Parts: sequence; C-alpha cells; structure tokens
Amino acid sequence: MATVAEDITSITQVESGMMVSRLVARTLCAFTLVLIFMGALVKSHEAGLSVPDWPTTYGYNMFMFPPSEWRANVFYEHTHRLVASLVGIITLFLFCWVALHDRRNSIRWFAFAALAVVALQGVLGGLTVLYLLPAYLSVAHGVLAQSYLLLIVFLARIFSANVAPQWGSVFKPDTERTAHWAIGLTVVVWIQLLLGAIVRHTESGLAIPDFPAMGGQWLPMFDDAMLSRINEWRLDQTLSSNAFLPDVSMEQVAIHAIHRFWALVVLAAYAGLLRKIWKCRPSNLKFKKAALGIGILIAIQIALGAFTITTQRLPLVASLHVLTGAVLLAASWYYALEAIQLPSYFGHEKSRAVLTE
Amino acid sequence: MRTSWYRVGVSCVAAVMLSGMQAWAGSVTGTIKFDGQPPALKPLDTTADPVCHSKHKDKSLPNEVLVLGSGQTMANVLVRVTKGAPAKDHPAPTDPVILTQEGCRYAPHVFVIRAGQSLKVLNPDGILHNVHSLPKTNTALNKAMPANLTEMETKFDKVEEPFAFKCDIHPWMQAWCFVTDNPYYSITKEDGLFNIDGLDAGEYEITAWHERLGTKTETVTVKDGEPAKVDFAFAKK
Repeated sequence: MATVAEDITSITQVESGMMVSRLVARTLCAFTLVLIFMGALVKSHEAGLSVPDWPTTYGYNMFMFPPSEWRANVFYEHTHRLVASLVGIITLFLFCWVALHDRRNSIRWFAFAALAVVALQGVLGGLTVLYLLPAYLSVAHGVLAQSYLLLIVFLARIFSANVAPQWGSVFKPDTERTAHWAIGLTVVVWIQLLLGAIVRHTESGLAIPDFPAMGGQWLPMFDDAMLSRINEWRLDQTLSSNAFLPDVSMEQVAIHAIHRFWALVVLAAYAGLLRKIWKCRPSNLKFKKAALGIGILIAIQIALGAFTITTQRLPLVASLHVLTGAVLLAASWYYALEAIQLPSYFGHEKSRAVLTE
Repeated sequence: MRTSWYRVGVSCVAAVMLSGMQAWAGSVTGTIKFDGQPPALKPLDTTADPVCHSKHKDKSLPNEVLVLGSGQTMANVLVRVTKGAPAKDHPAPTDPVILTQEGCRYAPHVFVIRAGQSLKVLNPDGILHNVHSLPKTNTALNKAMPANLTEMETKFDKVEEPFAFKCDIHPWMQAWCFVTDNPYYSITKEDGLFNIDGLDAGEYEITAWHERLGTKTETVTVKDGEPAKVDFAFAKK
C-alpha cells in the first residue's frame, strides 16, 4: 500500500509530465494552424504539382533541396512539405512522451491516434501529388488536416489541468445542454470546412462571382439565365485580367451556393449556443467573453469569404479564409471540451483529488 | 535513253498537275475574325520568378489568351474537319512536334499532334520547369525539367479534344494541345487565315475552336474544281 508521500511524489511526476505534454500539444496546435495556412497558400497559388515527385523533391531528399530552387510556386509546395514534416516529428515526440509518462491508457491511445492520423495525412498529401490532384483526394487531404487539428486540440485540453475546475464550476447547473450546443456548433463548422474544401478543389471558388447577391440575384433561381450571366462575367474577367476563368457548370454553382447557405446554419448554431449561455449563466463574464470571441471569429470569417470573392481569390485572402475557418473550428471545439468537463472522464480530477488530500 | 528521259518528264508533269488539282479541288479555306471591341489584355506578371522576370525586362510577356492581327483577325484558332473526313489511313509523321519553353512561355501556344506521334519538349531557359498536361482520355504528363534537362519526349496515343499544358511552377505558362488521327486541320496565325486541303468532293462539318471563346461550326460543300470557303467570327458571348 502506497504512503501519502509516495502518492504525492507520483502525482507531482504526473503533473510535470503533463506540463510537457501540454506544452507540446499547444505547440502542435500552433504549428498545425500554420500548416493549414501554408496548405491553403499551395492551393491558392495552384502550386500543388510544382514539385512533381514525392517523397523526394526533384529527386533530392526534401531536406537537402537547394534553397536557390525555392522559386515561384516551388516555394509554397516545398515549405508546406517541410512544415508538415516538422508537425509529424513533433507528433511522434508527443506520442513517445505520453507513452512513457502518462499512465492513462485512453490518453495513450489518443496520442497514438494523432500519430496515425498525421502519418496518414502525409501519405494522402503524397498521393495527391502522385495522382495529379484528383478532387476527392485533395478534399480528403484538406478535411483530414482539420480533423487532426480537432484531435490535437482535444489532447491540449486534456493536458490543461488548471482550467477545468474554474469553468467546470460555472457550468454545473446546465453543463450538458451547453455542451450539446457547443458540440453542435463544432460539427456544423467542420461540415462547413468540408464544403469549403469541396468548393476549392472543384474550382467552384468563383462559380458565383458576386456577394452578397448570387449571379446578380438576391434570390438565386439557378436557371440557365443565371449560369449565362456568371459565365459572361468570367469571360470578361479572363479578357481583362490575367486570371484564366473557364466556364463553370451548374453543379459548380450549386456547390458554391451550398457553402454560402451553410454559413447561415453556422450562424444559427452559434445563435443557439449564445442563447443557451445567456440563459444559463448571465453573470459569468469570462465565459461570455469566450463566446463573443467565437462570434468575432465568425464575423471575420464571413468578411474574409466575401473578400475572397471580391478580390477574385487573391491567394493571401483566400488562405486567411481557410486559416480563420480552422481557428474557428478549434475554438468551438475547445469551448465544447470546456463545457463537457472532459478531464474528469479521464482520471485527471481523481489525480488532483489525491494531491489535495 | 531518250525514251527514259521522256518518261521521267511526263511523270513529273503529271504528278505536279495531279497534286495541284487535289489541293485546288479539295480544300477549305477561310478567315477567323473577332467581332466587337477588342479587350485590353494586361501583360502577364512574371515577378514570382526573378529569372523569368529578368528575361522580360525590356518587354513584358503578353497574355496570349486572345491574339489579334490587323483587322481583328484571330491567331491560335484551331480549325478542323469534325464530320465527313475521308476514312483513310493516315500514319503519324515520324518527325516530332516541338513544344519549347523559352522565356518562361510555351511556344507554340496551340499545337496539334497526331496520335502516336512524338512530342519533343525543349527547355532552352536553363531553369526549372514542370511540364504538366491535363488530358481527360490520354495519360497525363507531369514531369520536371530541371535546368540541365534540355529536352524530353512523350506521346499521346488516343485522339482527344484540346487540353491544356501548364507549368505548375510558373502559373502564367499555358499551351493547348489537340490530338488527332488525320491531317485535316489548320491553326491560324495573326492573319487569321486557315487552309485545310487533301479533301475529296463532298460535304464537311468544319469546327473552329478557341481556348476561351469556345467553338463555332459550319457545314461546307467541297466541289470538284473549286475550293470551299467559310469564315468564322468569334465574339464575347
């Protein structure tokens, strides 16, 4: 039977181990967002095949590829691969660290899942190059990146020992319903990012070239006249700018429209969450501020979506639109994880209880 | 000996007359024009690659999406027989078609290759290019051409509608390729003229294709002893 002193020593080790895990997980969150932004730059510059081989880079080991050749579109694709490798290495480190220092089997499995997902993501990235960017593979590559981010945010939350008790106490009366709304918002945002990936990789980004109207109509009819107006505009742009915009089909217009309409669903889910929070705990300013922060992110994201169209997909603007989408997903998910008090499900509260005794 | 010279002479005259008659009797000619106010195209922005940019210090690289001559005649329009082409066997030429990447620009901008004919891609720029074709029927090509690789060869085995070639490193670089199994086509230069010869008397569907303005189709009748003429006009829709 362990003495109290042994328990305290053991728990102190757990706490310090968790501190490293937390730091690594948070670093991974940051690097994953950077990686998603760089991936968006690759697509925005149509640079996905500027390095046509994989896993090599023009026959070189990617780490030995001479910087003098990182020109034009090669820069975006090559740096994307380098940062992806860094994220893979950090994930491997996190897995090893958790396997050695965290006694919770469930957390070890989640760390392993993160490693498996990042490896799969690397392979998917390679396949998109080898198969010349088929839309289904590119969409899968984009969406798996967002799903990996969810996993890493989850781990970061699990390792964040200091936050749970404060917010947990705030939510006790109505935790479950608030959590449902927050999870619902996360799911809705994830679907919106999936739709965004489909828009990007089916070349539907300017399939509706005006905002907030659609094809010149506030209430789009999706008829031949609308398609004709859109394609006339695209031809005008091709002949007046350097953008080569071929005619689009009604399917592409529909894909784009669904992405816009789904933004309204995101707004509705957010409004539902906001109403629930105000109803539950109108006096808690910290939690309100966090919810308002998500609202600001949604507003920025809608504005960036509009700018993406009005600037004719300026690469930086379109990439910031993707990045903000990822930040919104991570924020909604973190919020949901706060609401459902996950640490208590994974034995962390138990550890703290022993430490308190 | 005299008889022999006489036979050679008669044969030559007959051959010249026959070939002349064939071209004169069985051809379709015409002009392609652009209708309406010509757009003011912006030159291409090559600043993303300083080496490419340095090759165009004195004169910017023009946007070739619409190339007009005097009188608004159109270059880079592919004209071909789409119905009624003589059902003969046309072996692919043994000489390769040349596509070059000079000054970070593809030349020619529109080209035709016969199914099975060799395509030689040149890289006189001495910098890294990526040759990426986007066919739907044939196997796509996606090959790097580093500075030290000055040429490479490929071929397309199946007939296919025009598809793009692009360089993924220099996104402004674009060319269009049409794969056919017959010689009944013509690509216009700045004078907008085309000439398709070697046709028998009969009715033909002639299609003119432009990379962004789409296609125009006309039916013409080629009569013995008289070339058929058809003109096309493209406009913004």
